[in-house]
Amino acid sequence: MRANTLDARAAAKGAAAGRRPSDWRLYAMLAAPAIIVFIFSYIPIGGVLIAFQNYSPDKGVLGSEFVGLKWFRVFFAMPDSARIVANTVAIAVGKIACSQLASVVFALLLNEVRGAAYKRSLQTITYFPHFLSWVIIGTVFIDMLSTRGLVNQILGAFGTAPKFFLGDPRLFQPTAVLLETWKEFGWGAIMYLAAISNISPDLYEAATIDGAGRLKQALHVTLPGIRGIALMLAVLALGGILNAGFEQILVLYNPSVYETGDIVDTFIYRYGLLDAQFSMSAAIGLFKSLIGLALMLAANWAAARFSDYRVL
Amino acid sequence: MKDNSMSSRIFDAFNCAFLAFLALLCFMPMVHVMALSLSDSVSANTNAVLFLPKGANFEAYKMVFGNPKFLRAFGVSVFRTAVGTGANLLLTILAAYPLSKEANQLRGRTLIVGYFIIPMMISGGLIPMFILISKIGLMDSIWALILPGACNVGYVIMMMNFFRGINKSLLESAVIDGANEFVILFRIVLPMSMASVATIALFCVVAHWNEWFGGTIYLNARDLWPLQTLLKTMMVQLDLTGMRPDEIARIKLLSDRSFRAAQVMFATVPILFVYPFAQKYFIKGVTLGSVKE
Repeated sequence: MRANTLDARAAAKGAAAGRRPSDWRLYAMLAAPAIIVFIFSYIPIGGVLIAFQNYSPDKGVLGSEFVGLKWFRVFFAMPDSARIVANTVAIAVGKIACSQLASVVFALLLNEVRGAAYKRSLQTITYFPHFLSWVIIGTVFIDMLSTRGLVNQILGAFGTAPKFFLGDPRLFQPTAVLLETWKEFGWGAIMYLAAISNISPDLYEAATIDGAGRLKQALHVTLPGIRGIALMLAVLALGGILNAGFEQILVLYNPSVYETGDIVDTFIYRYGLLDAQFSMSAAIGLFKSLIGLALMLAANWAAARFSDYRVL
Repeated sequence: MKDNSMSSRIFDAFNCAFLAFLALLCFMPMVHVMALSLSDSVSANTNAVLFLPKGANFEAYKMVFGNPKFLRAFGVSVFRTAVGTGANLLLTILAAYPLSKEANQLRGRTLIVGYFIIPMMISGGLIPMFILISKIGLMDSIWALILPGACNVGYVIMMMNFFRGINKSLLESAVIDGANEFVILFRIVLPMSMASVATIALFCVVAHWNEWFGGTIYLNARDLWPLQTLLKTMMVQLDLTGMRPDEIARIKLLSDRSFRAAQVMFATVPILFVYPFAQKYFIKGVTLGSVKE
């Protein structure tokens, strides 16, 4: 009797779902988000037209004269362009490699800690910097890394001559990479710790029976257990290879380190907004966006192929 | 898994010590700043302060709190964080709920998903956005900091995945009882999703509180600057071309380090308040955001 009622209810549900395939209210809900996305995402995408124009704010996007690929040629003919792209790639790759590696090592070591409370507090403290803005971190570290700041005081105690971390072109890139790693390694470890907690305890048990000590367990059970996610994150990060961290660089750099510290985004910012070279900056922006898109699609394909993960 | 051999214990000791050192590394810069902010400016400017205040006083904080510029910027930050987070949540929920339906309930779902995903892959970039903001009259308006990012597609996808985890039969029963989709969303789905909403809300709060770049390009009127933008413009403007390190050090000395440190604390303490009770949500957000569709 009861089963029959349930069946009838299920049938009614099916009918209800079938009768009203698309409630208009669902579309009504989508209207506001769709409009916001149209205005603030699609119109700017259309705005890249100015990359092919001599854009003048008075004539507008529709009235300005078309000049084809002129601005792309101008940018690539600039002596700075190769250096800027090289800086961007160097900083981005350094950050990806360094912070991923630090996150993996940190997750592996944290996994070996036996006290749950100690483990949790360590995690809480190490991902705190993730929640600070680059303005705050920049203000703190420009002071700490200055020639008379805290870091040089400590290095001085070991007899090292003061280093000018943010003013020396040779030191700027490593400093930017290390600061990014400092800020993000704890946060990045969350993914790995989640993956580690998904590894079946049976595997560890079997390894113990086979006589594997902790080191062997870490190397042959834990590490393979997070290999998939590490590969996926690394591959996906490749899509961002022209994103070297605009806000960080903008906060930390200064004219004396443009040689190694200037990246595509800061260049666009200076030429585009400070010097009002709208068309050329839009062209560089488009170049960056297209490279990013191509890399991201390739990365997605690779991630799906090698780690059965789909992002889209 | 328990291994109590000597080598294992030695490893534990080193491991715990090393991790403690890492944690200190993450934490000590803020302790240093706090010590500076509480020290008298002579000690601060002569590098006498490490991790404990020297000549403890609240002068620097009095300067911050006595300055209407900082209080106003704090107010602007609170406003944009509250309104911006509200707008973000509303639009995220309104987009995520219909998209959590199957294609037979929302005709054209694939197309609509595509419409929302494309902007994640390609963007107009800084310059077209800047031109847009100036053309539609949002320059010098606080809405220039709120509207452009109000529908974050990443959050929409996260939220959609949360909604998909809800038991379908519950929603179907509501349909039979005559509830329309608005009623279902706001009376049934949302109350069941408060933990997820809280997760996204916290991400929005932190993002809005920390964002500063928008203010520097869209707002010329200093009265409208949020706190982080104000602090950015007050950072030491290092133009060090052709200067010797000792000259630069002297310039650094001229700025009042304890005052600057107090400004940093002023902008960071709200995050410190949110942080402890928010942690579990943050972790949840990271791990659930990666759920496969």
